[in-house]
Amino acid sequence: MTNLSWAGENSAILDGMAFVGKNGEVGKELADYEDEEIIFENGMFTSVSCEPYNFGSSPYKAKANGDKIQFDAVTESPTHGKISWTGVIDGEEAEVQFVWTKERWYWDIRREYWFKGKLKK
Amino acid sequence: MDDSNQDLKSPPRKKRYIRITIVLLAILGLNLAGTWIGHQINFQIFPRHDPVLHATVMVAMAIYILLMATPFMPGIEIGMAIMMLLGHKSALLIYLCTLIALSISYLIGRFFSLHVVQRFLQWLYLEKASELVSQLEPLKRYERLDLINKKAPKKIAPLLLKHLYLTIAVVLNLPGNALIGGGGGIGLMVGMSGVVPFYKYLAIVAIAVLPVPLIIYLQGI
Repeated sequence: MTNLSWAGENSAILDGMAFVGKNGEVGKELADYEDEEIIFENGMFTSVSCEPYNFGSSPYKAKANGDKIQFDAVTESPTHGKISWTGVIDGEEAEVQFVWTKERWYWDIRREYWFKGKLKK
Repeated sequence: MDDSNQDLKSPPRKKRYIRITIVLLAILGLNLAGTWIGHQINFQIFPRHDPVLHATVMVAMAIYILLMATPFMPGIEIGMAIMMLLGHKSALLIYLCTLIALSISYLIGRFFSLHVVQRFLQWLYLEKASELVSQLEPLKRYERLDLINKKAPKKIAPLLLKHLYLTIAVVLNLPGNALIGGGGGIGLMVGMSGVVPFYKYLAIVAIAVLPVPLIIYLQGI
């Protein structure tokens, strides 16, 4: 098993890959109506379903762990808060957990989700 | 309004407990039903729902203000429920909304025709609130405030009689103030009395209702 650091030349090893699938809240079933596509390109991570809500692309970090690749990224929106992504790419499949947080002076939102997708060809 | 009459009219302890149990069971039942329905339709909240969540909270706050400003309505209970639901940071919002609500009840008592207020409450089927206004209407201004003094604890009543502002602050925090209409009823009475200027009333209320939200905000329950 190879343990590589997050930083360094392996950070962009997922570039050129995209995964399509469904999102869902943790503890609930994947929502049939929640289509998602995550894209890795030029060292940046993008969630297509979150783009309409001003979540732009952000740098991602990745490392190989055996046959799998782990990654994480944080996307931010000036209007809708922040999403922290952590996931594992296993062959042509992606399993991702992400946490949406939004802080207000009177109320913090924190909700957990998951994404399951297959490599887009 | 007489204390002894209130005691005679109040239901026996056993009946009261039964009613509280029924209310608690109803709340529990609604919660379970809501969870079940949400599960059945697989409703999930995503970041795109943020404006809806925000609007829902604002509507809840508007309802809270209305209930808090209205005599004999469960404003405090709704406020506590919102605080439990949204977390400790909401205590500040609840506090500000409480000030708005109690200011509204004061201003209604101060500037609106009591007959119109009484008819409006009756139209809403808020019988107890309507009855309170009709009882206060024929009284002289200072007599209206006497009602607040009567609700103060017997041991400290003589002291409070000399200190009107302290009396208002104490009665606002007494659990038994529900008998005179809760915060909304007290605000209405103080406004109707015309004895306390608005800026002083607001200062009293701002201090009197501060402890609970402040503790919740700081302790982060």
